[in-house]
Amino acid sequence: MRNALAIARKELGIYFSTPWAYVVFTAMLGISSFFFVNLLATFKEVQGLARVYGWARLPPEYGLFKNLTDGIVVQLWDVIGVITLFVAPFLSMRLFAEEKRNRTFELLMTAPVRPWEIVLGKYLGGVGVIWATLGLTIIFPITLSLFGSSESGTALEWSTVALGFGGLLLWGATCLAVGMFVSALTESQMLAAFLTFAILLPWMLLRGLAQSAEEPWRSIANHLSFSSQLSTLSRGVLDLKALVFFLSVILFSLLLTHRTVEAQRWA
Amino acid sequence: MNTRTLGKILGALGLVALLSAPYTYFVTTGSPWMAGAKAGLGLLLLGAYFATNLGEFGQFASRRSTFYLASTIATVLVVLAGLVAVNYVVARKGKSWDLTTRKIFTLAPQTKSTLGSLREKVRAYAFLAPSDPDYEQVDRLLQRYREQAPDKLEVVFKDPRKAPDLAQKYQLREGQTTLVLTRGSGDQENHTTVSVSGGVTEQDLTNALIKLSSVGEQKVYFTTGHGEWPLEPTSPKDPASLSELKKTLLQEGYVPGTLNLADGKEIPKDAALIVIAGAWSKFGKSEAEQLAK
Amino acid sequence: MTAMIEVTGLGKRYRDRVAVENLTFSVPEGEILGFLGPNGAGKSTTMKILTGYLPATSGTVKVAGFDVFEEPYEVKRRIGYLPETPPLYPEMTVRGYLKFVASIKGVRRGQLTTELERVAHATGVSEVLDRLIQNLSKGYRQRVGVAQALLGNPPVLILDEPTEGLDPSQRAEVRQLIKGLAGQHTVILSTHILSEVTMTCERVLILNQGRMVAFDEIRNLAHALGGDQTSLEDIFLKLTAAA
Repeated sequence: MRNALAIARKELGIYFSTPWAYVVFTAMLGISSFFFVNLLATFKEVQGLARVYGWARLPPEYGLFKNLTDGIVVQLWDVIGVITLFVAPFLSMRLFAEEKRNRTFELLMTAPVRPWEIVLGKYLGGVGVIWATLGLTIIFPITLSLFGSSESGTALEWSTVALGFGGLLLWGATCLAVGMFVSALTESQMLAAFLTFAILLPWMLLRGLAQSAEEPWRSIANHLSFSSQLSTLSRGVLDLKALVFFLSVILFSLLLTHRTVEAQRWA
Repeated sequence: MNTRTLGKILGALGLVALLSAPYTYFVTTGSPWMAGAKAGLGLLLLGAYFATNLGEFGQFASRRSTFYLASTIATVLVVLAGLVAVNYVVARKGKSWDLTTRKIFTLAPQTKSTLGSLREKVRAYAFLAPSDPDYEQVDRLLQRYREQAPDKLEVVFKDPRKAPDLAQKYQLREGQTTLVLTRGSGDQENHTTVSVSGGVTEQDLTNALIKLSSVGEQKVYFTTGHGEWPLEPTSPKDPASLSELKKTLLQEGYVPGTLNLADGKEIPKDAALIVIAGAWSKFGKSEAEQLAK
Repeated sequence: MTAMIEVTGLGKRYRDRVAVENLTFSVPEGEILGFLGPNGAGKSTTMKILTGYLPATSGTVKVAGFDVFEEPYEVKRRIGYLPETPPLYPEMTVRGYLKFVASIKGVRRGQLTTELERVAHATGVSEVLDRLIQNLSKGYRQRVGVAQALLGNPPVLILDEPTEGLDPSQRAEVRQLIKGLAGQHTVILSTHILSEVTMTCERVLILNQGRMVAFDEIRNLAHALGGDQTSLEDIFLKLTAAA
């Protein structure tokens, strides 16, 4: 475990000493603030309309904008979930591919470190940096709670907001686990990023496929779809099956990574 | 660029084509030929990768590495099976906690008790195209019902355009978005419909469930023994019967049966209606007394 | 003296190429063994197998009595290894890098600083400890690579061309350093600079095209191949040409 932590610390150190992490931070904050501002504008507009005509006369889908939590934060979390999908491959691509190209993989494999410690250490380091990226976005709900107001008590429903954020962290950790496995397969970082993306995107969009499928495929595809599982959490329902699903994907990816790393010793 | 690198690039493109083929079918064009062609192209490109990079696989051909490959495949399959099992159990019996302040995702007590008291499996057909604006909302609501009673409720989404036979069976109009709740099967099937436009409320759905479970308790008796119209054709030569009426009654939730009062039987207590359909001979005294009650 | 490293019938085959064939030798504790051979003779491959980085196709390797395949962890704990390309993270400082390597090699936290100073002093990298590795000259990088292998004071050192890229005076220093390791440490050292071997090693193992063509004391080899005056260079050329 101590070795795993040492490796995780090293990973984090390297992430933060290269421009990569900062590029990713900027991209995340830039894109999500764009959507945040857009949502704010829509929210204001709908609230204005409601004041004039009353909620009853507005189309039912505008009902979302009755409060800041459903109108802005829940929708923002969904958007950030999609951004994460684009950002995660760039964070995970270097985990193993770079070690291999740099020949430092030889150092790790000949040091008295067990393969699972390497995998776990790398994973923790990667999760650390993606959580740091996602952690930045907590400023949006904080801004809202500082400047927003609501008819009933606090401006935001913090339990819903926090659960959605927790779901995002879990989603980030899942993307990273998949990306790490792909990274362990190749020496080329670009290829690793590209393949990770090619795996995650269809997987996330599985829901679209589910909608036109017959039972039981519909339920299966819905269960396997990242976006269905994620949207349950972001709407404020702590669902055991979403947690189990994400943890299963993480565990399975870690197992595959471990077998790939261990393969070095055998073949 | 040597052939091996070229093979790798082709392989990656092939993988993308293969993985995205189902989306071509379901999401964009809807043409099975396009999707099939895409999948075929993907397989071809992957084949090119394996052909050009075969040497790399030959490297694994020692006894030790064969053992490693076999044990890895076994481990991966066992773990995968375990994870699938856990996910299956949790998806069916899992718990969820509604953390919203107003508990907007929690079913009302009345709904829960209605679902709990269902005696028969209910099937909900949602006649909605995936592109329908209400799809999401209906899907979520039905899912919550199903989670509450996984053994008693089955949810089936049908695109009305793709299932015209079912749409006709439940007498749906063109372009109508409807939720049909059914129970029983074959001749014994009962159904009730809920209209969906602008979404379905929990109240509507639960009321429909209550309505559905209360039908079928009521019986309609047809008297026999006086030359009445038979419920079923008695012989192929004489097709005159009430079978059409019987069908309609069944769909409306009544259970038709026959009743012969000649042998001094009493009228059953569950009879909601007694029909004397075109009797030729007179009713006996006791029979008339019974009916008079 | 017991054998610290025992190699029996070692073979390594890549897809279509035999890299090492039927290699058998042993190195007693405290000895420095020189690995010689032309480029592509299989020196690096053999070293990678000894450290457990690559699996052998056939044969066994034992270090301090532990089989490298069966008990890799025990073997790795006892080996310091410098691969042919020093395994460095360019984004890290020398100090950060050495600290990381020390911690994964199991150096206790309390001894970390003293161990780091000892190794840095021995390899002459004390003055660059706080510089980024990517800004170092090739000579310094090589020395950081050696320093990394020495961390944790492992009983066995496997050094793949440790003097590569150093200038003559630095080379002499590293040579001195390795000589000083004899007795306490068992060292396998590969190089293509022949004079180096004569100065540091007692015995040499000469590989050519994956096969062992000589394994003896330099003195004996010279004697066998035409008199005591024969230089190692002549021996080398004769043996590798013959095969």
